Amino acid sequence: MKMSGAASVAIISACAFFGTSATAQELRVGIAAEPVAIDPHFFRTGPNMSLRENISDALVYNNQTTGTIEPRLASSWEVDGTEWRFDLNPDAVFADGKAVSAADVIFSLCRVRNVPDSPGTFMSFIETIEAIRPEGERSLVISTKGPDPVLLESLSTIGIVQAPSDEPLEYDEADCGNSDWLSTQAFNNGSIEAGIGPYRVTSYRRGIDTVLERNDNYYGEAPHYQRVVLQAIPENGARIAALLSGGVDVIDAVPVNAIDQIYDNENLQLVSAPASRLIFFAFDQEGEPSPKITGTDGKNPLKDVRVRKALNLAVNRAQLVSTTMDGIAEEASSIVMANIFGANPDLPRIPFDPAQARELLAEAGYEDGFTMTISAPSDRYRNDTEVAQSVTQMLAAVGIDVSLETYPQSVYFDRANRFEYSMYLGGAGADTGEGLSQLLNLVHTRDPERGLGGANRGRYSSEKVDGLLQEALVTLDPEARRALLQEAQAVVYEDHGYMPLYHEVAVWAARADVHFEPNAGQYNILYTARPAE
Amino acid sequence: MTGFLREFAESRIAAFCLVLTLLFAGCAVLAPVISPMNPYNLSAFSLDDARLPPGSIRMERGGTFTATLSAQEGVAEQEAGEAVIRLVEEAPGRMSLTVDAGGAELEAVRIQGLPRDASVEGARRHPIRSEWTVTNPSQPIVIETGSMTPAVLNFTVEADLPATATGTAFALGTDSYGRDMLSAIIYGIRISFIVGAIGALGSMIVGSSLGLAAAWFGGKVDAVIMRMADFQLSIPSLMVGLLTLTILGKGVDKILIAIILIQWTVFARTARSVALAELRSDYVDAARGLRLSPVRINLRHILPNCLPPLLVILTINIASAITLEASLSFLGVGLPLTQPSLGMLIASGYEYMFSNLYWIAIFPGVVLMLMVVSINVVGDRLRDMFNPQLKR
Repeated sequence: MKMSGAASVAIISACAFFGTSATAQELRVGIAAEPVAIDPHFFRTGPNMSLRENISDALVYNNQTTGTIEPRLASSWEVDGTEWRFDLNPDAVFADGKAVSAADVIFSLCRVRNVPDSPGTFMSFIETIEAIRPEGERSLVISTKGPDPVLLESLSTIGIVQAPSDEPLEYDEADCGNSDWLSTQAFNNGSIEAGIGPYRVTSYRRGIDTVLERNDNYYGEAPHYQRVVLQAIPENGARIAALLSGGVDVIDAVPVNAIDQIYDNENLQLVSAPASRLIFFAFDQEGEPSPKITGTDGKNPLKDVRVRKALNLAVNRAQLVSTTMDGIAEEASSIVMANIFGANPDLPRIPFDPAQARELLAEAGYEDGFTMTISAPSDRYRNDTEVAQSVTQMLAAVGIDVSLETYPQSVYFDRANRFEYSMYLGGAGADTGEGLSQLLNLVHTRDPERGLGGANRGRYSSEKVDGLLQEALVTLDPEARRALLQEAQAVVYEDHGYMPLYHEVAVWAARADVHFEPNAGQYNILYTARPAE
Repeated sequence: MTGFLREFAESRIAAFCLVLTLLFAGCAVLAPVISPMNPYNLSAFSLDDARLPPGSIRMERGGTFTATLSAQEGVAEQEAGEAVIRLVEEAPGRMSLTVDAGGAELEAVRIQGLPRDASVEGARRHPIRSEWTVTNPSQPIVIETGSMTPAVLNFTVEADLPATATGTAFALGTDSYGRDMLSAIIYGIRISFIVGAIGALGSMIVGSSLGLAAAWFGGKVDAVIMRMADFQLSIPSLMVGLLTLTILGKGVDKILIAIILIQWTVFARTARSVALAELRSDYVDAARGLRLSPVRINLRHILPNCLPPLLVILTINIASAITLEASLSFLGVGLPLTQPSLGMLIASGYEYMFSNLYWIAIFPGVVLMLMVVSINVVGDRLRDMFNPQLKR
């Protein structure tokens, strides 16, 4: 220990000595997962969306920390029923000096459906759009199929790229009568810019780094750093070592068991924001018999609300958060996190009560428990295996003969989609920064055709919840919508439809002399980074 | 037998390693009797004991009082069970908190939900959450909130009564699930040893049968079997293991299949080469002349003469089967998580190396190393003894 302390001090001082010339104008960030493309419409996944936020502005910005929508390329907007009118910012110019026009916006929204070989598209974000018509060069009107209360949140995820032609396309739900869609390859090799953003990508090397340069023609506040280098360091230990040695200034996704070490190091600081992603166990509420349950004469005990309640009561969430997660999480009793739109503050904590859990099991006819294997991914969420094993332990303590199986995520979610689990660990966040999308994804009856209940692989289904969510989908009044979301959660709470565990907390670590702002969507916001005062 | 042992013990190191190996074998057989607790019984351990250093004693938690206080102008009083929690303003921005648990000493007090700029004297702030912990607090506890006392101050207080020691000690500490490392290691040895021994024995049976068949039939059979072995040897063994387990799933039986698939080649090659030499011997011709069945000639006449080299390979392959199982478990495709083998214990400890929780990875690592080294030394010694060229 003494040795390693001395060694790391030596390394840090050596790096400080050699590295000073670069630090003033350059920020180096060690990232756990690298973007797989520069193309802003290619892949709907965390790392890509995080990069997009820095290099390709959308019409609006969804500030999940304050819960407000801020103007970006659209300087103002107004809504009248299903008609949304946006005015574009005339100062926002592309690399060739041309200001963003309605044609660019229509092209970008059309392109979302037409990105070649996209492994996961942004299509569901533009699903409600019926037509787009330009009104002069600098404004446009988007009309939706019905009232869409979350249109702005949806549009905030789609970067606007420059259209090859000045003539606006005719928006439809297919190819908009166009065939030239700009290849992802061209974005990646730098021959096309990703749009208008505080930074521009100057070099992108898969598996090594992504280099960003400040966009000096940016219409908004200029970022501080001239250059930002995003280094891909997927291995936890290596990422921390890079930070300790001064190789990088900031790292994201700080692993739980390194928190204390960084906290105690006065040259470093931790930056965190509660993240909306709920980590939960889902119960198979459809299979009979359920695939991983035996000893019940072919019945599925998880269909019985008393059994689900018993399992919920058997889990000591406080201990899970304080011990297994080292306090880097917030206990959850319901789906939507406290400061997110739609959270229900009236639902009490789910108590830890193993005695009552045993009683409920006995009441349901399982005095001697039953045999169940629960499933968890081994490399998807922070500490996923540890959390699953801790829960396994807690369920064993109330008399269920339980064991745990884990799979790498490449196999895990395929099996989940084939309903091969009885009780499985999952996670789902509020993509758009409000509770409706999260609830539609988790508790709406599963209906892949309509993109509903996508993460509801336990197939929880309640007509009442479906009705409330469908109503919320078309309710524009925020207070009425909030009440609907809260009521839907109260129903799920009573049904014990899920076993919510905790909401994640996103943690970054940075050098003490760098000011780095956390982001609730777990994005790396580079343009607000600056030297600390 | 005593002569054999005496000759074996001429190498002191080999003798020492033989004793170690037997010791590990003893652990494997007697694990349920000698281990302090059963690490497979999930309800026997609790997260309360997670990550304790070696030599810790299992503590029975005392009670905890929890109360949510809502202080007006820095003054509040709240009952929590038998305890009374009081907050009094001393000066602007300075309040003192008293937890009166009927005169009982407190072990720790946690204060949650204070505003970010507040501070608590003598407390450690949680790196992320708004939570201050005072261990062995000297009452009253002083809370400072800057120059002003806020009009309303909401926070939660949790006070722990002292834990009482139980008779159980964790000689080698506990892992992140509160599992006793010593018991986990003893059971880990059991799994590793059983998997190693059965795996290597199985490969010997499969491998030597195929080797004998190849030698006896010759021609096409020989070519097919030996090319299969060559093909197999060209694929790295870990990859064969990973593939097998990914396809078949987890479990001891699947690991055994993987080990046999990997190791049969060595036995087959050795058995074939020795058998080819023996087939030219007169006693085989004699047996053939007696019209004995090929099976009988192979098993009763040729096999016994092939055994010495095969047995040497067996011992060495036990060690390599143990390593293979540990590697596969380390990579997370081996055994179920709730039945840890040594490799899996090392893997879960590896995560904690950066947090200085060395015991979770080091102890199983050392045991695995000792086990593999001692079996290898025993194997080496046997090879030396059976090799006439090395005999003095």
